[in-house]
Amino acid sequence: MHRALSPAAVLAALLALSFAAAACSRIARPDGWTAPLEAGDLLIAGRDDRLVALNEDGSAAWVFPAKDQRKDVKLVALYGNTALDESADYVYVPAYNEAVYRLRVEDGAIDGLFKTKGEVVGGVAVKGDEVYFGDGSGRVYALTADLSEQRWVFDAGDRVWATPVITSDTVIVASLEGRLYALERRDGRERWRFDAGAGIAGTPALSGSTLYVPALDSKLYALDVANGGVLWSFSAGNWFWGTPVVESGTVYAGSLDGRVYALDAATGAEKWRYHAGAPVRSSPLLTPDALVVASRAGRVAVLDPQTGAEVRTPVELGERVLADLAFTAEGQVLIATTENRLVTFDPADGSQQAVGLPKEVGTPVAVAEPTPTGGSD
Amino acid sequence: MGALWDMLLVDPMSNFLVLLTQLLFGSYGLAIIAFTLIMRVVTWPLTANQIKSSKKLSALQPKLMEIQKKYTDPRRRSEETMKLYREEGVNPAGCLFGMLVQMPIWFALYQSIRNTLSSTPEAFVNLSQDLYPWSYLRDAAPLNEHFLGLNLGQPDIIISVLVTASFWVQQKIMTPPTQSMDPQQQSMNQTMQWMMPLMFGYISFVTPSGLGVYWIVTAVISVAMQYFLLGRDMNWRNIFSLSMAGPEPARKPKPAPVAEERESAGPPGGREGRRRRHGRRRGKR
Repeated sequence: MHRALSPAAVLAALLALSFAAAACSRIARPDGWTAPLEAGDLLIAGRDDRLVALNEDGSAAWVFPAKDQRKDVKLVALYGNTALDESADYVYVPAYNEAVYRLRVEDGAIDGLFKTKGEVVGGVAVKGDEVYFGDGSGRVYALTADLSEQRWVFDAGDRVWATPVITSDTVIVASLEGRLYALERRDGRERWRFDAGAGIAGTPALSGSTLYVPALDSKLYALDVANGGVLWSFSAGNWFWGTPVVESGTVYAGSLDGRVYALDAATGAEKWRYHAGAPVRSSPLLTPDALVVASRAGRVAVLDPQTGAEVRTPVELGERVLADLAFTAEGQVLIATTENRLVTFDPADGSQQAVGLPKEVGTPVAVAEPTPTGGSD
Repeated sequence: MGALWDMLLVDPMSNFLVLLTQLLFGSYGLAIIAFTLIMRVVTWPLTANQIKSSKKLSALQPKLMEIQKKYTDPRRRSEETMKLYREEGVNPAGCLFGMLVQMPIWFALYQSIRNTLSSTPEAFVNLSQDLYPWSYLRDAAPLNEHFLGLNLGQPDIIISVLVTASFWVQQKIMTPPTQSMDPQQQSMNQTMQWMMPLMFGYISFVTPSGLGVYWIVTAVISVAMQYFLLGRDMNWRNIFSLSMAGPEPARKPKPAPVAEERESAGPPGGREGRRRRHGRRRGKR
C-alpha cells in the first residue's frame, strides 16, 4: 500500500543513518605501543594517553599528565620508547601530540618540553648531553639534554617513525619514504644515504661497523655504517618492523609474516626460523640463555638461540602485544599489552604476573592473570 | 560475517586501490578517481536503468496529477497510482535501487581508504596483513596520502562542502519532477532534496576526504551520464530553483477536464504528452 511518510520521519531516519554511518567510519584512533621501562624502583609504562610509573606493589607513584595538567597536556598516544638520561634522573617521553617531554623520574613533573612539527612515533636517542628524535613532518632534531636549545634540524622528506641510532660522530635516521640517512652528529650535515625498496618504519640495530635495517620491502639489510654500502639483504614473507637483536654473530629479527629469523650476521645466511603463528612487530629480547619473542596475538615463546627450538610451551597472554619487550634488573621480561596490562614474565620458569595499569594515582591496584587463551589474531 | 565482508569486498578493494596507486605514478588521489570511473562503468546498467526509470516517472507526472485530483480516498488513489505504474511498466523504486546497490561499495570503500592510508601505526601493521603477497603491492607502502593539497586520510571541510554542493546539483538534476497534490508528499520530497546533500556532507566531514573525492567524482559522472542519456530533457533550470524539482513553467500542463483526460492516452501538456497525442492521431489515420 502506498503511504506517504511524514517529513519528520524521513528527517529522523536520514539523521540516524548519517550518524550511524559517521560513527562506523570515523578516523582510526591511535592507541600507542610504547615499551615498558625500569627506572630505579619504578616501572614506567604507557596507558593510552598517559604514562604511569608503578611502585613495586603495582600502585601508581605518578601518572603523567596529572589531573591538573590534563587541560593543557593531551598526549593522544605513546608509541616511541621512553628513554632515561645518563643520570637516570629524567625520562624522555615522545608523544603523538607533537611533543617530547622530559619528566623527573622521581615525581613525573615536567622538566622540559619541545614542541615538534609532527607526531612523534619513534623514540628519543640520548647521547651525552644531547638528544635526537624525528617526527611526522620528516624533521630530525638534535637538542640539548634539557630540551631548551635546538642544535640542528634535518629534513628527512617523509615521516620518521624510527628512533635515531647514534655513534660517536654519526646520527642515523630512517624515513617512511624508504631512505636511511647518515648525518654528522655535530651539525646534521648529510654524509650518505641509502634507498630501500620501500619505507623504513623500524629502528635499525648497530653492531660493530654493520647496521641491520628492517624495511617494509620485506627485507632486512646489512649496511656498512661507514658508507651505507649493502653487505647483504635477506627477504622474508612480509615486512620487517621490529629492531633486530645482534649477538655472537647472529641477527635475530621478527617479521610481520609471523616468523622470527636467525641469520648469520656476516653473510645473511638463514640459520633457523621460528613460526610464531601471528605477525611479530615487537623486537625480540635476548637473555643469557634464551631468546624471548612475542607475537601480536600475545603468544610469548622462549627459544633456544642456537636452534630456535622452544625451550618450553609458549604462553598465551590472550591480549595483543605490539610494544617492544624490556628487561628488569632481575632478568625478568616486561611485556605491555594493548589492553593496558603490564606482564612480568620470567623466562627461566615461564611464570608470569600481570598488573592492570591504573589510570590515576591512588587507584586500587588491579592485579590480574592474563587470560590463558589464544590471542585475537 | 565481518571476516567474510573483509575477504570479499574490503581486501580486494584495498589491494585494487594500492595497485591503481602503483600504476598511476604513486598518486592515491588519481587512484580514487580511476576507481570511481571503473565502478561507474561496472554499474552502468544499473545507472542507466535508474535514469530511464526517472525519465519514465517524469513523463507520468501529468497522469499522476490527474489521479490525485480525481480520487480523494487515499486507498483508491494509491491503487490507481500502482495500476498506472503497472500499465506503463514503471518501477517507482527503480530510482532508489541503483543507490542501494552502491551502499555496500561506499562502506567497503571508506574501510579500504582507512586501511590503505593507515593513519595510525596500528592501522599500518594491519595493512601488512591485508595486502596480497605480491611484492608490487606490499612495497607500495606507505602510500602518499597527499593529493592537490589534501590529506586523503583525514577529513577536510572543503571536500565536505564540495560533496554537499555536488549532491545538491545531482539531486536537482536527477530527481524526477513531481507535482504531487499531497502537501505531505511535497514536503517530504523537499526535505529529501536538501537532507540528502547535507547528510553526505556531514558524513564526508567526519570520514577520510578520499571518500569525499569518490563522491564528488561520482556525482560529476552521474550528471554526465544523465546528459548522455537524456540530452536536452535534463532539468538544468532546477539547479537554480530552491523549490522542489518540477517541470519547467513553459511545459506546465494545462488544467483540463478529468473526463476528457481519462480518454486520452497521454498527458495534456509537456513534450511527452504532445508526442503521444500526435502519435495516436497518426495511428488513427
